[in-house]
Amino acid sequence: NMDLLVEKTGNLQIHSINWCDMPPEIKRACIDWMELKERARLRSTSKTEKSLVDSQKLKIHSANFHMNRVLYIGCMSTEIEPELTVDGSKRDDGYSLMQFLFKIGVFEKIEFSLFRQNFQSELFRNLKGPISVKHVDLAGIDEMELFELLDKFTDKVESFSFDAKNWDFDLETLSRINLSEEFPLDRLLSYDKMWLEIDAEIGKTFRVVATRLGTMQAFLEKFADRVVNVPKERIRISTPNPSKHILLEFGHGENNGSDGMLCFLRLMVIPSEMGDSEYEEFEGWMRLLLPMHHFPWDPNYDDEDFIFDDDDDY
Amino acid sequence: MSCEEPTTSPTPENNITVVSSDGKEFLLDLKLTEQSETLARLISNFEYDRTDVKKDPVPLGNITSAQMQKIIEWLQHHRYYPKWEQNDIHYSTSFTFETWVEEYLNIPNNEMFELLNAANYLNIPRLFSTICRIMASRITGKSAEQIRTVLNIKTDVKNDVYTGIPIQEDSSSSEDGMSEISLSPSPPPI
Repeated sequence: NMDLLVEKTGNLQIHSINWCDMPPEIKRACIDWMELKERARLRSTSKTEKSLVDSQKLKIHSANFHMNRVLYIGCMSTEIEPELTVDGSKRDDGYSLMQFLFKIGVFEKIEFSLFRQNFQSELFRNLKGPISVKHVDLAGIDEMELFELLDKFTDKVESFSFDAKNWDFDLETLSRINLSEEFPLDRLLSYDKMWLEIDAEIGKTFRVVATRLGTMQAFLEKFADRVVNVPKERIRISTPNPSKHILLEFGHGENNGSDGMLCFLRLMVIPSEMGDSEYEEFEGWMRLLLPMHHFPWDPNYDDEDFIFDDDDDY
Repeated sequence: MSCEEPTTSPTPENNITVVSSDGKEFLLDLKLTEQSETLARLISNFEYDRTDVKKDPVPLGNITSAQMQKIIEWLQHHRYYPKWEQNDIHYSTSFTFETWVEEYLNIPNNEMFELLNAANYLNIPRLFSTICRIMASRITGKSAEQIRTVLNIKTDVKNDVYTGIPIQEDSSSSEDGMSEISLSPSPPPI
């Protein structure tokens, strides 16, 4: 009745005239409309505001982080700011900004690419996760950095694309060259946080292009107890969840402009009832790794004018 | 978006009386109350939309007459607007409100916060979202220190200095650090 209503609502205090006295849920609704720079600045005004800003997630459609010693430059598209450039090159705190972004950001896609000159490998080690993201593109990182970075993501990542063919691109620290003789395929699949231990969702994918990959034979030996079958250029293995299998696919292509070959690999969680005839063609997922690459099945493949440098991919 | 505002006077059949905290009565057209989810639910629960039901005045003990007057002004202006959807205000840096809204909310922060609370209590989503957005815009381009001034935030830095405890657990939000980093709509040269 009306008396009860009056009693229940009469004590509600809604006469705040200061930001600091506002209920957190109302402050958060205001923060929802703040752009990144304003959030960062509000966050630095007091502990309360920091905690509030950090608790309010921001959808980030895409973020492209180029890094050397710290965050060098980042291009982002958020739900509030469609085109935002973060220039961390002028100060040492680009890394701090990146931490902030990972704390509040719910990313659709993140691209990491490193300029190896002056790069400090502890950058990834010290990152605080978990980073919430669906799709991750990685380039220019080595094996150690790869696994340090993988540790930082939530297990909700749907796809990784890793360009490992530029591992040698290091002007200063030559010791980094050939840290890994070949892409650590077995280590990747043994990486429990990504595949077997977490019962990864169907569709979860890891794509990689490298100049050297482990051989299928070595892989078969490593996972002999899990192998379901070995269709052409593919290995299908079981998982602890009987409704899911993991499919490994191997592709090859010329390294345009050089004598070397490129190796392509895709790991994907598939339904165990999927038939061998239902697999996707190689061309599609290989193209995703190198959109500008000139593949043998391209119509103008023999035309030298159409050879692209792979550096154009980024 | 704008709508014509025909002047209508509430009649006993299509209105309710709300009473502000300072005892002032306001006659509200039921059509206006549709914008307030709180009032709409109350009217539905008490069946005040029926002509044969006696309508007791609705006490709004935590809304002053000045706030109620301001809110009714909003409800009147948006009387013929379509029902509010969350996506009606799109994220866009170039977004501007109509002149009427700009003038309506050209009020000091303390009044804005009171109105925001009232909009939240009465659950008027169009007004609530609009004020939130305006509040956010009031700190656009301002430094941390300016934001402290605008929002009257009392920083806890001083206490931390005394206790020796740093204000932030990490360095990610030091005022002269990340918060002043360059964020721009156009890419700097690589």
